[in-house]
Amino acid sequence: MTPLFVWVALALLSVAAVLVLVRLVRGPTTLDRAAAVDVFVAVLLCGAAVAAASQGSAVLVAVLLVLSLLGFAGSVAVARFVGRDDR
Amino acid sequence: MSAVLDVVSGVLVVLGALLAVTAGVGLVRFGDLWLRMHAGTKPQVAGLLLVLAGCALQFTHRVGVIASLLLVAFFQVLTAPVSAHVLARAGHRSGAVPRDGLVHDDLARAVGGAGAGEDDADDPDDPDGPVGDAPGR
Repeated sequence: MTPLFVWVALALLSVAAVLVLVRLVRGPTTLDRAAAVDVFVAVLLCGAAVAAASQGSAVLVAVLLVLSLLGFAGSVAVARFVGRDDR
Repeated sequence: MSAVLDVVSGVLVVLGALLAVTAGVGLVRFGDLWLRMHAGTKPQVAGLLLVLAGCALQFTHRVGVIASLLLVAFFQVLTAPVSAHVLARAGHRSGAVPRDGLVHDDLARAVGGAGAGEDDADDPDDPDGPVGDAPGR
């Protein structure tokens, strides 16, 4: 892929990650943080996909698969926990 | 042809990254959990799909990689609504989200107790009457 596109995309994704981290630090409740972690994992997925596309290697594709399932399990576990606890 | 594919995939990836930034901005600026989840699910998933499409255009000769990317997209489309639903439900049940802005609140009736359904008994729209305290999940 053209390096220009790669750098622009990575810069935008970094901005997105920083914004999500702001919410992760601030987030008044645990659930806000869980939602933020969800989005953060998705941003990581985007970054890994861009890296895989720019290198032209398929190694990172396995990372994509694992990340996509791990993020889901994490946020659902947190949500169940909070739902039981704070009623 | 290859150069055209390259430019198309680059544009797709940059558009997806832009959507990720929108999700981040929404996550920071919006007021409560439900509004933030709106930003955190829709633009984020759309952005990820665009990035994956752009990535797949780089691997047009490798069917296995494209299949894996399709699998990632499928999982994301499948799991993002589920996790958002579970988070929203937990927010409702734990009372972490203010309910003043809600126009209609079906879950309060279903959940019953926990100070949620004050207007259960005299709701004319509810043929089944108040639903008891559901033992839950």
